[in-house]
Amino acid sequence: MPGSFVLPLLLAIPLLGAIFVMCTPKTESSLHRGLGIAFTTLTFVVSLLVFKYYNPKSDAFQLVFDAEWIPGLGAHFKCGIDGISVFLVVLTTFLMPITLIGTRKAVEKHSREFMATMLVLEMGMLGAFVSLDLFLFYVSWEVMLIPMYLLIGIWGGQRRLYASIKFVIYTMVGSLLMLVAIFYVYVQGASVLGGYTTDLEKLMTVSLPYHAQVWCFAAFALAFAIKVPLFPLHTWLPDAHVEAPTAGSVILAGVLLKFGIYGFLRFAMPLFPHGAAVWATPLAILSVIGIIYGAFVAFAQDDVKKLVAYSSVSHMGFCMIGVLSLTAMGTSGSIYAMLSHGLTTGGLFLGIGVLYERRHTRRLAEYGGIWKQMPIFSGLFLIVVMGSAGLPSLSGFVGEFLTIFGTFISADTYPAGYHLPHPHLFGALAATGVILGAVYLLFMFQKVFFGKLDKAKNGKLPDLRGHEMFVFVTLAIGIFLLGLAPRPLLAVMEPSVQKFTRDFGRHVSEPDGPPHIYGTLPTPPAPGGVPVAVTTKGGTP
Amino acid sequence: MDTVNLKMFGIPMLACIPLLPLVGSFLNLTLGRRFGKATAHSVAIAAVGLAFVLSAYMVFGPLWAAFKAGNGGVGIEQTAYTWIEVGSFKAQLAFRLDTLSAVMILIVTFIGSLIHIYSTGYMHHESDQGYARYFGYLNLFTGSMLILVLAANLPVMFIGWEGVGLCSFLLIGFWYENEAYATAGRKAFVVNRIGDFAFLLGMFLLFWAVKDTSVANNARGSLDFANLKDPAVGPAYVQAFWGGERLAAAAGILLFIGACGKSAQLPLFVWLPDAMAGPTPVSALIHAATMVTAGVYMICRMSFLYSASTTALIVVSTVGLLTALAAAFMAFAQTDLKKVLAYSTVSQLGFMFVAAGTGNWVAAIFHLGTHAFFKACLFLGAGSVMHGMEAGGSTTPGDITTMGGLGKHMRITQITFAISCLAIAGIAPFSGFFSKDEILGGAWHVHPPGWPAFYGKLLWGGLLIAALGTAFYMWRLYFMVFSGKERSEAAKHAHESPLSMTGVLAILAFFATIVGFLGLPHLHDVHLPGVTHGLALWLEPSVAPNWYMPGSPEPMHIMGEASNASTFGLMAAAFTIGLIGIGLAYALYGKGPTKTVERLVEGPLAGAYNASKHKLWFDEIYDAIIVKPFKVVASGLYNVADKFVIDTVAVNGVAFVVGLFGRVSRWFQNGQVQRYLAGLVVGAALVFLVTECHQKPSFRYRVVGNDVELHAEPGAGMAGANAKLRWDIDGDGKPDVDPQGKPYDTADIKVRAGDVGSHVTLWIDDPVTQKTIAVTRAIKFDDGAAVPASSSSGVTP
Repeated sequence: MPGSFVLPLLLAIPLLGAIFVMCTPKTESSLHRGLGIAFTTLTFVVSLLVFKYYNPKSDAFQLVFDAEWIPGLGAHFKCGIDGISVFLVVLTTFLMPITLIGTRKAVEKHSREFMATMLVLEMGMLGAFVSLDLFLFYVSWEVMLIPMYLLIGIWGGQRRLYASIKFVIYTMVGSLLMLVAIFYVYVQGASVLGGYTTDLEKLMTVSLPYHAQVWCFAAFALAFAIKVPLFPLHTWLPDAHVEAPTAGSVILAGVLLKFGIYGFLRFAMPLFPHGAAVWATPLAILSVIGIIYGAFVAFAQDDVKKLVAYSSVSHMGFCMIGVLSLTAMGTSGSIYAMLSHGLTTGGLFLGIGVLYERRHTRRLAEYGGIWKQMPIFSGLFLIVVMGSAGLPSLSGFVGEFLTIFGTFISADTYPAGYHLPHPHLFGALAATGVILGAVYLLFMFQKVFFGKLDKAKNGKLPDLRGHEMFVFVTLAIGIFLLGLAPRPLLAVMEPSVQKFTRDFGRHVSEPDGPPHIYGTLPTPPAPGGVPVAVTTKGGTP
Repeated sequence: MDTVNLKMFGIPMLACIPLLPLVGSFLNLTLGRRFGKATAHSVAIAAVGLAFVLSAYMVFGPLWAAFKAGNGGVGIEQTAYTWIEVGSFKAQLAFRLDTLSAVMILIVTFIGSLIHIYSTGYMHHESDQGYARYFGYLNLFTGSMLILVLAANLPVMFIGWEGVGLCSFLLIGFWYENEAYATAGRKAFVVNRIGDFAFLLGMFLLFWAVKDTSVANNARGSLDFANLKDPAVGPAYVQAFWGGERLAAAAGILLFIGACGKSAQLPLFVWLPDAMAGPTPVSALIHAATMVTAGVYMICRMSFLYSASTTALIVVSTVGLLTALAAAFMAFAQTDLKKVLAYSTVSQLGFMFVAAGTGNWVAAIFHLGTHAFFKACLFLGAGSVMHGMEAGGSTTPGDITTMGGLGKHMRITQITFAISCLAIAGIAPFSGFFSKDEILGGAWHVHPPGWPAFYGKLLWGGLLIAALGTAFYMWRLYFMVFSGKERSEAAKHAHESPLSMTGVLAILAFFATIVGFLGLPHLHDVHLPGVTHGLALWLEPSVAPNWYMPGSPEPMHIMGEASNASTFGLMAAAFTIGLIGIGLAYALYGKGPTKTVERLVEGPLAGAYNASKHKLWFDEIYDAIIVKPFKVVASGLYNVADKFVIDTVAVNGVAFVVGLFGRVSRWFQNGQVQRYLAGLVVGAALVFLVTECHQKPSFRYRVVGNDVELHAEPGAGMAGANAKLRWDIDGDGKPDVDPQGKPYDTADIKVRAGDVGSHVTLWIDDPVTQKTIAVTRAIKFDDGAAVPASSSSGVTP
């Protein structure tokens, strides 16, 4: 396949970078920073090569690289991208250098190890986004866990040990159950496919028994829901964010949380469509609770970082319900909301980093009147805040709008019986997040930037320095571009998203399937709009 | 002329109109700190001025031609590019200039330009940086407002809709160092967002409604106004929805809630009085002339939808009436110059919504236009007064109790203010008289299908009372400010404002005087020149003329016919009411507040006075039922639900239990062989116990043809392995022998069906415990199928 070298190269650069950085002398911290920025920038440039080979009209996996890895297990080193993952990959490679530039001065302790950790983290994240093999995915999933653990545990704040252990154990619990489910799929798949394999595309053709799907989906969903994080599995997030260094927070919110939603889209729902249909409503209820609850709790915070952490709970609720709406609109909106969240929440954490570096506190009460002191920063930060609050023409709006829209109309674009019950109600409840987002974000903005500059320490804060300026201007441009011209991106996602919803509909309405939990099985939507006659079988499961 | 392809620098002309101020805003907000004041305001004024010129060119050139050709309602639609497209949803960044939006862009750019010019005088005390920021925001607002009114579809309108809200937030909190001002800005944004939430849902509902119609996959996207007003979509609006009401009612009310937020109607009006924290030119432009009228404009824009639901209209007009009355009442006791004007704005917006709610779209836009002129003039006049008071040394320049006699010092401000007060009070021939009269007359004559017959008269009566109140409080304000003696030192030293301010006042006052003549009432047998009905003729192509009544043989016109007598009668009533209000104000405040006022306020009217002064306690009520509970719930959720229930009990609780297991097992795993051995023994014993307990001795049977196969399950362990078995086949209670005379003592036996009695018993002699267990089961022959029967077992020694 043309361009198949790109993805392995993309994984190799950060790894080589990490090795290279570790070979440099320990004390040269500016060298480490330079190398880190150079390697992540190189990765970003290489990731743009993807578009040279990517055919945006196709809904298949592209740039596929497939090599035998562990023959005994049937595990392949197989990676590829489609419309769902392509922009997430670019988001990852984009955020890495931005983060490292923006937090250039933040880490002095063990800077060599810090850079190596960040680079390994990047490799893990990219690996998880591009892997088309369950084994490779699981390995990558765990690979990115360890660097994050180190980032929080070594370069973190006061309660870093508590937070890092909580993060690891929480994530591990979910991923171990997922591993069990992977084993089940692996074994069952072997009997159908006539040989052991962990190839995702092959396993997706296997139709597992109904109850097995329900349980396997639950196991996968637990792992991903923790990552999202879905209410009430979210309490690791504020702790991790508060303790993590700025760079860790940016990557955690900007990229890591996306694996939750991505996991649902790429693995859990295509592999276990029946399970997804069963669990969709409970998950949607939790998402809506998360949207509202996250916003309320964010409002109650005095710690800026915690406030933004809880805002992620609220925002990721939008992404989740968009996927669960099972409409093309909701799904595209969900992916778009992830991209926007990466920029805006990344920007929010970077902004807090800017303040923290100067003032060494995250308490809202310690700020006030910063606009007078740092007008450029304030103006740019306002763009980020408004992007996060979903102001139309900025990035956040498109995702929020489409996910709520998709939820609202989910009854119509899908065969009867598969949508969420009361889609209008779900849509309306999710839309309250639009109000609540404005409430806590503007509250935060007012507390920090407006009011009198009455604290002596705030009177000496310098405005943005060159590298910070570069980062915020870049983010602001990104936020405007995503908000003003979403169509080119949406057009690239569209074929894969359509395939996702179409396949889902087809799988769920398989003639051999047991009766659906919501009622009798409808006729599946066929490609090209021609209805396919499918007889459905009643009877006991 | 090929109107669709009109371009400037390769950009569609209509897109250029909002783009110009946006570019100006970008320049001032990025480079403004390097600009001097002159550059900053030159850029800003040039941007808006050019937008005005371009608007005028588009309206009087291409649109005029289209209007002449009978296409005023189709207008000109231009698309910049496709903004969002997913699945069946499509929104283009498209702009629509028809006769309705033409009126709006002319008002916005013309008054906007004037206010930009006025601001150069009003704001020149600001620092250079603040000055550039101010003009940047003002340009940004103008651009957003132009997007709002030029939008060709609902999503693009929503860009402008929220954009103006953002600018409102920024400009109200322009002097952000004052915490109260910043809070006022935030309040405005959040209250607006409540409306926007409903607006979004209304938009979704409309999309959902038209999904099965012919416009669903239209190239424009189905939320385009041209598609939404397509007659083919009509049936979708009248489909039953939510309890048999038409869908148009639900969608219309949701959109109207959005309008309530933006246009400060009950119950979402509370942000507007606080918005007076912003600089006065901002109050004039945003919070009087343009932004707050966006809701009225939106309803007229969606007239095709509202004409399909008289239920939505009754909601609109009722809310409008109540707001007009309540706000007029609240204006009585205010002592802040700008607050009085703010409540007056809320009240006048109520008038416009009554007009829109009676299907009188033209009158709504007419009053919107006249109000834009006289209210902008009033606000700018107030700015001039405060400017003068500040120059005189006042620290509370807006407090009217310290004013009085300012007419002597500020002649131009006084005259222009008086003209505008006459206009708002509805005195002929000033513009407000005609537009208010159109609203009142419309309310009197309107008969929407489904409304109670008296409702139009009720609206008329209510508005008449509001009009009386308007005349009274506006003239109270006028007399308090300009007449009588100066009540403070500052007032004595006040001076007139610079030409950049007074010149603008004069222009606005001029227009406040004459624009009324664009909308004289229609009379029978009297033919006035077309221009005197210019506005109605101009707007008619763009708004819905008839009620949407599918199945009705004749179209039902919205505007009823009025006889000359009733037209003149209603005019006379409105005029008289205005005069009474002014007279009353003169009697009480003509030479400054009289003793009568004091007596009334402390005596019989004390309750009403307090209610008015405290704005009917709206803020306090909202604080008690929304704001405080919100904070309590937020901190409760965080401290109780999040920190305690989820994190401490559930998450760390699980961790604690796991840890506990760890500590317990650590006691075993300590390296002492004795302890391991003890564990081994106890474990083995447990295994036996468990297996014994869980496998009850029993037997199975199966009928095969004429035979019955029996299979003993004596249980696991020692008992099962060495047990001695005895069988009773025929049910006589004694062990049986087989035909060869050998006792049945094996686990598997086969007997003929005929030999089997109703019950079979199996005895198990346990050699270890020396006990005998007996199991008895009933045997059933049921078509050869072995059905598990009830079993009974007992232990015999």
